[in-house]
Amino acid sequence: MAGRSLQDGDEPSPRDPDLSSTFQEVLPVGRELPRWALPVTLTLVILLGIPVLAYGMGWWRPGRPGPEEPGPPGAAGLWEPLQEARFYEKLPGGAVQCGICFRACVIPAGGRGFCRTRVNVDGRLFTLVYGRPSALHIDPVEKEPLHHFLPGSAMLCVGTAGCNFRCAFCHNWPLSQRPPEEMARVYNLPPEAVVAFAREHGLPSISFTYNEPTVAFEYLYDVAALARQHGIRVVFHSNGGMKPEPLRALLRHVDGVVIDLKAFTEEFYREVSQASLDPVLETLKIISEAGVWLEIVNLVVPTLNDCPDAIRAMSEWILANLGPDVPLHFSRFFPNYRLTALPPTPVETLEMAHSIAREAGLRFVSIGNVPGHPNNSTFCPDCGEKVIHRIHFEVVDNRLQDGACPDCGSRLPGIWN
Amino acid sequence: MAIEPRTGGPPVGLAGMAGMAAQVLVLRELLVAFQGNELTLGLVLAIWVAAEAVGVWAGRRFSASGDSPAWYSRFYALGLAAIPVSFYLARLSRPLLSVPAGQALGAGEMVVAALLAAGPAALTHGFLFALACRVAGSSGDRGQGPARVYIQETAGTLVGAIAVTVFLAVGWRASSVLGAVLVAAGLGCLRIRSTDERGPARRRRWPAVAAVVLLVWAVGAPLLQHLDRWSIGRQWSGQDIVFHADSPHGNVAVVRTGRQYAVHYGGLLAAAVPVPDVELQESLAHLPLVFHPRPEAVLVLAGGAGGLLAEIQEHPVRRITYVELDPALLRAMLATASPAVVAELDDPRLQVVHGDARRYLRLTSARYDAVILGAGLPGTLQINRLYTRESFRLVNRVLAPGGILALAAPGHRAYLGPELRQLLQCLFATLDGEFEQVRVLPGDRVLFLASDDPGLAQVTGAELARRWRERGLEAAMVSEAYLEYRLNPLFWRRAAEEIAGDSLARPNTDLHPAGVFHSLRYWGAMFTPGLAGLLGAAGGIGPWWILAVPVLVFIGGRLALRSPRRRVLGAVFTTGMVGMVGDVLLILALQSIHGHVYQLIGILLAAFMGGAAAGAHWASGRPARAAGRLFRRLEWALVAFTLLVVPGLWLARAIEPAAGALPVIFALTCAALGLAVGAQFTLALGWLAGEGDPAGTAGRIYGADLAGGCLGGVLAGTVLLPVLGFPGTALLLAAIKLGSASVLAGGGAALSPELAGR
Repeated sequence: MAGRSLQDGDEPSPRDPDLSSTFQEVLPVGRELPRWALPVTLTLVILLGIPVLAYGMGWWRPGRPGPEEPGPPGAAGLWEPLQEARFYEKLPGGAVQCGICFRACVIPAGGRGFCRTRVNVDGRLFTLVYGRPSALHIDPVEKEPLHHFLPGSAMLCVGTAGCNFRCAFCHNWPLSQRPPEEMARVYNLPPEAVVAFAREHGLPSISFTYNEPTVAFEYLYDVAALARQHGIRVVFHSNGGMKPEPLRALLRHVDGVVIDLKAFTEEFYREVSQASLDPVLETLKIISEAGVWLEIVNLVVPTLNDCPDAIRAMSEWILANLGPDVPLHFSRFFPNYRLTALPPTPVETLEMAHSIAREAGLRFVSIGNVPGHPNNSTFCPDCGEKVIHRIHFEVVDNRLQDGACPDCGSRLPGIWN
Repeated sequence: MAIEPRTGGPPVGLAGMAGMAAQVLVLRELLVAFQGNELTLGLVLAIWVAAEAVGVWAGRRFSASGDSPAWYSRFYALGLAAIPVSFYLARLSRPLLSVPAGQALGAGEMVVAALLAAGPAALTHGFLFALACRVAGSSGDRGQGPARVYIQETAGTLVGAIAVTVFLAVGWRASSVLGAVLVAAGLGCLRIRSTDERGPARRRRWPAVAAVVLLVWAVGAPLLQHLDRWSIGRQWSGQDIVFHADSPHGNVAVVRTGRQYAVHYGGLLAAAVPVPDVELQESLAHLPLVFHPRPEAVLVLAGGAGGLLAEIQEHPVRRITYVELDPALLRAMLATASPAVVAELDDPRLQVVHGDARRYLRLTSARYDAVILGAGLPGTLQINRLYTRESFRLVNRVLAPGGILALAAPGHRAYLGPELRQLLQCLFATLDGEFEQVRVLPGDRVLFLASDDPGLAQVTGAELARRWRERGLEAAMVSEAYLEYRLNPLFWRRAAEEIAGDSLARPNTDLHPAGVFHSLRYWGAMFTPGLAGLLGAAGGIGPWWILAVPVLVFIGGRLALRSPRRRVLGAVFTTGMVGMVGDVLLILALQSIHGHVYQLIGILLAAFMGGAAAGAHWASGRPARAAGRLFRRLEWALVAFTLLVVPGLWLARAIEPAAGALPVIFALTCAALGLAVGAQFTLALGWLAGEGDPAGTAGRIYGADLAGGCLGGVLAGTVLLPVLGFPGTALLLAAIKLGSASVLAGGGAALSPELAGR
């Protein structure tokens, strides 16, 4: 068979003595067991062996259900009735344009917004997270962090699925970076139930936090309006990406806002958060103009947003546009979510940022996520005395007297009672 | 210039040696880039063999139309040059892929990084193999020439694997090992060149050869050093690297930012000094110690240096034993020259033990009031083996009456995603199986406390606060109020019930490392939600589908492989897959039961390759008839072998105390598996030798073997081992081989009429 090799699919030929003899000798007819004998025998062995193995390994117990999976709640069960979204515009062809956040997503029929929580059903936009929080917890207000808002009190914290940012360091990614149907747990908790829960536990405030509250705008709005009727304060912790119109409407019902000012460069917002800085700055100005209590958090990430010049520019912008009394929290980064190839923020970097902000003229600057750091406490800007002594989220001593420094009588801005 | 008629043996062997060294070194570098996940081992090996297969294909095409001997030496040199390229591409994969600063690699990026790194070395290596086969085939030796090449190549890989293992064990840097291997393999170039010459002319060349080697070493060593420093800097995104070492157990690097030092082990943050992760260190140190009424002896298993020990030393304990596997980690910690680290390691109450924590637990006669497990998320088998039932059983043995085990896991105060929730439930179930009492303290770091003392369940926050006050303790975060807060049911009852509520969660064991499975899902949810979903779905199916595998393989094989040669190639394909999955299974099972796989991986790969070489040698030279008969018998032998692996693994777990024997047993098992794979390769060559195109046939068989290996490698770490565990995977391999053997066995009657010329 010299000159040409056997190709796949060729019929072996009897004129091909090498090959036919090879196979005939090795696999002759008539000297074999029945062709089904071995596979059937061994399959039977395995059939008997598998249950024993499965039982021995603990894979199987009679009557045991399979591993628990969160599973989608089902359209009829959990999502119905869907709550129609607010602030959107119908477009020709069944599409809609969402007007809640800076992205202004144009969503085709059947599609969802960038936040994964707003769905276009037959040309109408609905929210999937109204009355459907996945996180419900009682936290100290200091955890938010809020330093000038009912210090030492606890608050009911509420979070849903979804976010309109894609921050690579998100601490709350299991909530924020997944759609509602992938949640491990979803509560059925209409606004009345949220307020009732807070009242039942004697909590003076409710916070929409963990994920981005903008995506649950309608839910937040209705809870805030209802809570105010019952004397419960409402705050929300946001990335600042809400559009001005819904934001102004919401601010009429809330008492405080915490905004993550993630950096002061467009590049950081684009590369690390897939977002934009300008809408956040506009949000900050609107909140300030509305007179709602505002605190700002800046998570300092080594090599990405720890440039002193940028921190100085940010501090100066805050001073010029929001005034010196807005508390600014510099928070320590730890490797998290997708950002695990960076070291934690050196404490000296946080202290450098603190100094820059103080030098710029901001009066309430703190360092967070470094338990035991002295600058986690609040100091009177006039006399320099410590007025609220904090360790991590614990208020060890609150010396303020009706919001005033006990040493010099200077009044500190905030919501104290 | 010519190559010896019997294919320039030494260059082929040296190429094999260099190829294996490159494989191990590139793999280690990629494991750093992939942050220590050993389950990527199969993926990298699969990509490696796939690239080799492409190289073989290209080599066959090329050698069919050219002067193979003439080109061999040129491509040999090119192949050597490709090895450092692969090594540094592996190290520089992050910057080359433009991964945003600080971000870890996702699954897709890992595949690209592995392709990028494996490509140059594996492609040229496969290409050289095909050229060598062609040269050997043209010597008129028919099937035996390629078989000899296979044997020499495999013997070379054996030497390469042992060399890398030994050099790293004695403290060489990876780049130095690379340099030594290149110089040694470079001699092969000179040998090819000198085969034209005989007698005195050839002898006269050796001084020149020695001079060239010395020159290369003199010039190359500083260059390599410079390149090494530069590439490490780029690997860490230009951060200030003050310490970098390759130990037998892994890679350690210290990054300085201002006055802070971040110690990374296997690419993951291990500690930060002088200000650590206070929340983790303080809760892990103080909570178990105040839960115990009078702690006197404390055992810390991993993760102690860098703050945890200092917190423990705040307590009035008499004795602290700290077990850490890798001395390089403590050298790195001391390289920070942090007074806090020096002080905690200088404490007179502290005894540091370098070694495997499980081994220490097994051998010690000491008893402890608290055992603190500081190893972090059980995302790798190296860490997971401290979180299994077998490990917890050993911990329970060293606990004094009333003693407490404490460990921390990632968490979230308000919401646990499905993957993390199942991981935590798995840890709870594992502890619950070995201890009478398990107490969960949820939070952003979940703390598990376990003990046989029923008093553990009764301790209240007020009691902890009282003990804290009475002992006069002070800390940055933990305080009386904090302790009361962490135990306040108003905040935590719901979350604790969520973790402890699933009584049906599968426990984590050595042979079924559910902790790794859930950690992999957790990781997948971050980077590749599709993988997390796939694993979740696969995990829910159960093992019953294995039953269908032999039947499916049999029916599929009979229908798809109509020609006799294709059936043989199909069998070689399944053998390649079984060889690769089996090899990865044995490596990772040893890691799970015994540990030290970074140190042993070269030996295990070498054992497999050595077995393959021996098998190829043993099987070579047989006539076609005998080769075919033996090939079919080996099919059944592989079924029996993989079935025997199942009780073998249970036995291995049972004889874990015979620690020294386990690597030997596993290496012998690898060798036995390799023996069957290598023998089948050679037998297939002999069986199909009648085709008259030995090089082409060898290439096809090699391609089938590599393709099977490639598929097996991809499946092994990503799906099979995490979902089925080790025994289940071995059973699946048996099922595949059963189907494959049946195709050949059942095919005899069908083949004969064809061959009889109907």
